[in-house]
Amino acid sequence: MKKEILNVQNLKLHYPISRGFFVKRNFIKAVDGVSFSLFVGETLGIVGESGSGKSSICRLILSLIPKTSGNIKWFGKDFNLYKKKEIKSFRKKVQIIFQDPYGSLDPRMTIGSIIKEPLGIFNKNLSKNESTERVIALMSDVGLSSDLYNRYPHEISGGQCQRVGIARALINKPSVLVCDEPVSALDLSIQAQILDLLDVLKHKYNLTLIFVSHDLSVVKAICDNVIVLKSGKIIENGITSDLFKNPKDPYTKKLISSVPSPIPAR
Amino acid sequence: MFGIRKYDNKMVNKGASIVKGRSLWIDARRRLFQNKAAVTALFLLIVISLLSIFGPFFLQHNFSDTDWGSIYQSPNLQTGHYLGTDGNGRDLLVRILYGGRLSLSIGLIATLVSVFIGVIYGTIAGYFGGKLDIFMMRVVEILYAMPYLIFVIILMVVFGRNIYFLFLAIGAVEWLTMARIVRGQTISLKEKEFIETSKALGQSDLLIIIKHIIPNLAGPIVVYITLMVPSVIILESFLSFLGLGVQEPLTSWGVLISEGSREMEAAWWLLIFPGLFMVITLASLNFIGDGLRDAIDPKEY
Ligand SMILES: Nc1ncnc2c1ncn2[C@@H]1O[C@H](COP(=O)(O)OP(=O)(O)OP(=O)(O)O)[C@@H](O)[C@H]1O
Ligand SMILES: [Mg+2]
Repeated sequence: MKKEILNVQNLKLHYPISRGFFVKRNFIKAVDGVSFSLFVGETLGIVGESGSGKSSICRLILSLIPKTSGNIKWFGKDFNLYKKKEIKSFRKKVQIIFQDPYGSLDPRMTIGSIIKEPLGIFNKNLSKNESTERVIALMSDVGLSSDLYNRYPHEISGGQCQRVGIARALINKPSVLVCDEPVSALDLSIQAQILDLLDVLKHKYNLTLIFVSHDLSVVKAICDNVIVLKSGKIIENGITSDLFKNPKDPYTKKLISSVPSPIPAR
Repeated sequence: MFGIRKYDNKMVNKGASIVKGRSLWIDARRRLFQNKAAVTALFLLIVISLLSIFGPFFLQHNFSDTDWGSIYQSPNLQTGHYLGTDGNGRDLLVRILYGGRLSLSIGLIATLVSVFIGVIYGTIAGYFGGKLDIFMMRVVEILYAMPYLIFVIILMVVFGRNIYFLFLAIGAVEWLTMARIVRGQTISLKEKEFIETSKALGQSDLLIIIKHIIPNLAGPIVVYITLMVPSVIILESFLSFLGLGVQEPLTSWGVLISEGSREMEAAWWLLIFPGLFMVITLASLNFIGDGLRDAIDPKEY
């Protein structure tokens, strides 16, 4: 049996919509009772149409937004019991990259200082030269020329921005990387490059991946297991190849059939 | 100014050609310098500031020297009273330049103080949100609703006319607006993914505010500063007009204008010249503010 890194039980996130004093409260159920596990070394796909709650799940498991209810267990320990210090070291171990390549980089910082930011948080005693060297090493790992070190985000392409985001996420050698639609905003040819890069880095850095997408062909290409999400609920999950061969739920069938395949399965 | 970071070029470019990025500030500066109105305004403002600071050293008259032999002299190149004299025979040009020192420094200092307070207050309220935000903004609203002018007048009457008090009185009003603006900008910035990413990286709230929020607010803040300085200068003039400004023999543009307006018929220059200096300064600041607003890419905010 593989080791379980993350266990989520009955996770819920409800946003109130009517705030009336006498009116009965109504909720948007962004995440509505989701349970799943993540195992060491696997790539777990989360698919679903827009608004199905994929990003919400990512933010919840990273504790970037407060949950309504449910249980999240990271590394065998209930996240509610994490102390402040433990949360900090958790942040070092679990990283995220977001969909919008430009939006996730501070427009006022150079590429070098963006990638360096996590070093400043966790490796305060690193000398300036050492940290610069690490940044440059990582830039070459993600396929960025060191020429870009002093450039600003608005001077580089979307694909390069996403590489910067990946470099920043990896610089403290995390064990889990959550990718929230990391390629959806990019051109098809660039999508394939970034996916290849993630695959290479996964092995080089021994990463466990959560890969969110609305694009099933992408998920099919890189995920071991998949969760299919609709309106905040899991409607089907399992091993990727099985799920693609025998989709049980009509919604999954519809998703699968409506997807052209721009990226050849590996 | 804020948040421009440079890193060790030497090591990065070992062997590689030196590639320097164009920061958003450099872009904005280029656009600003292409704006003729803003450049002219900037030039005028610099000239007036330099004149105010250094001019008095080169003039033969002192700002408080009375010359009973030459009261109410009209502008005259021969006597050295280039812009004439007032009812005490004091040289108007020197007094205008001294007044400029005071008006400009009140404008600048009161603005910087209120920006300082307003930025801290506004970012905290906007960033943390929730109940804290509601409470902090209620406080601002209550202070807004105060009849502050009456307050200032009473305090001045009780504690006497004091120049530091003037700074305080003006600063106490102006920071409220700054706090509101900064809070609004912070709330919209907070939604950006790079703030969320920074949180996910393990960055503390304080450092997120210092490293990411404030540098990204710098654009609107700079624009606002150029608009706030004039309003402070006007406020000071207004208080001076009411007789609550600086005290003799010190002077400010506001004081000069209010004195000049009383003697307008007898000695027109006493109103026209101080007024001209003030109008040029205020207009310049407004043009610079407009130029900056256009130069700092609006889609960034
Ligand atoms: N702050 C919020 N307040 C109210 N409703 C929200 C909020 N954030 C998200 N929602 C709602 O929660 C639901 C799930 O949103 P989420 O962003 O998780 O979807 P998603 O699957 O990531 O969609 P996409 O593919 O478009 O990114 C949506 O219906 C959305 O409108
Ligand atoms: Mg999303």
